[in-house]
Amino acid sequence: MSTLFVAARAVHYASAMLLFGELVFVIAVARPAWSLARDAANVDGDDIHHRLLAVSRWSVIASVVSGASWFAAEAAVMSGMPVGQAMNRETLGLVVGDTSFGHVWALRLGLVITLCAVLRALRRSAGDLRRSRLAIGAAVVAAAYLGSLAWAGHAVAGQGPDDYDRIVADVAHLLAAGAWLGALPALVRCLGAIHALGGAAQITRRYTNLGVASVSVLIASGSTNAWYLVGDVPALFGTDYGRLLLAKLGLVAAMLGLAVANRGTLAPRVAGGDDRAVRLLRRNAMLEIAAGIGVVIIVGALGVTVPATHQSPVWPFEHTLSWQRIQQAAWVQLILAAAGTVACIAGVIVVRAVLGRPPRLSLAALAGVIVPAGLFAWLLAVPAHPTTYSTAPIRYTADAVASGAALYASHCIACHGGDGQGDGAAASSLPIRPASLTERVPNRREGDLFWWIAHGITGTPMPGFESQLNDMDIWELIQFLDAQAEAQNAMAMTDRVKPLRPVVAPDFTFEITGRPQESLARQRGSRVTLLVFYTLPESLPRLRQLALKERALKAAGARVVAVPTSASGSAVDAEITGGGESIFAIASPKVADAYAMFAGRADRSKEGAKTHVEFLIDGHGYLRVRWIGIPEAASDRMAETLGQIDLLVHEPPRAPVQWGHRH
Amino acid sequence: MKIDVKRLLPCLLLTGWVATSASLAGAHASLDRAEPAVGSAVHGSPTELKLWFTQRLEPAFSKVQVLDRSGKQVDKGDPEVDRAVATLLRVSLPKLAPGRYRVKWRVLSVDTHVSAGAFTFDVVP
Repeated sequence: MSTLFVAARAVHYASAMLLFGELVFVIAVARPAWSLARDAANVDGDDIHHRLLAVSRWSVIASVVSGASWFAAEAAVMSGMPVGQAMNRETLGLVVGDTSFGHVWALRLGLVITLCAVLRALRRSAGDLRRSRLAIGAAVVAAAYLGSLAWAGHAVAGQGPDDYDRIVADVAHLLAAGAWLGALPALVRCLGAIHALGGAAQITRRYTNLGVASVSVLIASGSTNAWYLVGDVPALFGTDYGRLLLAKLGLVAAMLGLAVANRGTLAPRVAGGDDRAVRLLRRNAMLEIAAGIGVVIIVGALGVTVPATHQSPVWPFEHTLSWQRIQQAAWVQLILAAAGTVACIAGVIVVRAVLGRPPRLSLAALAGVIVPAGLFAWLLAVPAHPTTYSTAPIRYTADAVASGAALYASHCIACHGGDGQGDGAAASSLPIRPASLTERVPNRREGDLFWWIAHGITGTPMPGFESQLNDMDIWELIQFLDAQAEAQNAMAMTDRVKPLRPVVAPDFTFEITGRPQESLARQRGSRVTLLVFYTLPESLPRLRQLALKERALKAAGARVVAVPTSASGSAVDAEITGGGESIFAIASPKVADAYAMFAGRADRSKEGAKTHVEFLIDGHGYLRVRWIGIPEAASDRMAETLGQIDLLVHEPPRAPVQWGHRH
Repeated sequence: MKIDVKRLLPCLLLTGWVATSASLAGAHASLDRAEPAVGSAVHGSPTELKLWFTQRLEPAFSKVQVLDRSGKQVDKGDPEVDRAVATLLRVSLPKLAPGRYRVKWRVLSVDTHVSAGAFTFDVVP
């Protein structure tokens, strides 16, 4: 079924492009060329004109049939039913009336009917002026028909001003492709029928100019969409969608190569009156059409393939390029900068030579590109694994960290030690001591960490755990390792706001009676959070103070969330209230366990010593200030707290924590 | 009309981007967050389930169901995409007994891609 969907899409794209391209060819290439070559014998303009427009009739039929098939297949996908079942009035009515796709398709049906009418009028018309006006009218309708395909695609689903860029780029891309590819069959037919070489030279020259303009637009519109893709190179090689895209790039490059040869070598010869050159040009154009058919089929397939960002890329190579290896060595970076400059200059020289008439290839310049590229590859290559670019399916939450901590305690602590410094009980018997996890983990991709935990590290005593831990376990373990490294940074936290390396606060959900479930991540951007982990009965005086001052704290820009460190906490909230919002939250016990890691205690292997700890989390999601222990009677903790809150509220803005994840 | 090669060069150096115009980022509505949150325990029965997605949704073909432990549907059967926020899908819930509940969602984003998923949440007394 999916093959038919791909075929319907490919035929539809091809026919829409043909409809537009034929008209563009007639208006911009053929007619001006003929009016110049009219005096030459044997140029039967009317005959070619009619032959061109006959193709349009077939294109319209193919377009309507494939458009209807596409619609039917889409209705099946949307409703989740097989195609046969989906062909009922209710479903089709929903698709046409209630979906954006349905609205666009109805509009396009109207456009193709209009196009039919204009083409009929054109076929029956006489007189140059009327014909050229009708041809332009038809071209405009055909452009709308082709360009509106952009609204059936991805560019419309986003939000915000970026959307307009992408829609404009998509429409420009479709029209440029139509003008270039769609006009090729017309070019082939023209070159085959023309006997007077004056006509051939004109047509070739005009078509070449059209081609150059179209390719420029294709590249510009392509790069606009590519701007949104920076960082997705792993997806290019690691997903089916990406590899299909690479195949499309290959075919387009082949077409460009043929076009460059046409322009640089053959077109001048045609202008010089070489008959054989006309035949070669025609043959090249037919090869371009063949490649173009391949491109259109791939575009059809891309529409039904799972898009790259919905999948974790599976890296297919043994190595990848990474700046990580050379981060320390300044001299290496200088060499690479020099090599890069040489490669760019040599690249420009190569391209200029290839685009000359005739095309030349400068071997020295080519070497100037290849050698630096090889240097880059050699210096930047690091070993890679299939999961190198995988991303965790879970977020950095207290639940995940606490689960990961339990797994670490049962599988890792023996060698890596409680603090990850490689000083576990069994470590001394290992031939290679484990490296410091807190130093290494932040500089490694989580996908690499996943592979090493699952399969071990060859050449070291680190074993693979995939038989004991499932995928989710390993991702939770990695969240714990991140927290372990962050806890190291957290040691530097004090009871004053400092510009220090920010420590990310693990997310968690909590509930305050009478309110729906909330999460820490949702507080970011609005307020500072004072997170209090309390014990009973020692924390009571401080809790009373906070509850009474809740309004003042809120006015200062802070939200107080008090979480118990033990199970007996929930008895408190009934007694203590300041008349404002309740500060007492119920949360999973794992939250206190996870945050105990950030309590600054050097000896964390002790079974979670429960003490009263308060954290200030800034509006961007970072842990900034920490008070350990219950405030002494003599100290004015409330004034201190308000002071630190004030400092955080008035800080200059900084990048918020990235909570993004891939489903 | 003579083409100036010098002006073309910067464009042509970007040849590599030609194909990627089809956009690797081809949109797909994935679950951004939920209320009650994925995998969380909520105290007391929530009145509705809210799901936020990364793309705008088509109301006609976006559905969500809440099932109890035995697989019986327990939501009120009125899933709807919020009129103001096209990325929010909600369904109302009756009073739920404590236990584990499974949410199954299937949505159509405005760009004609279908995605589906499931997760659980617990209701605790």
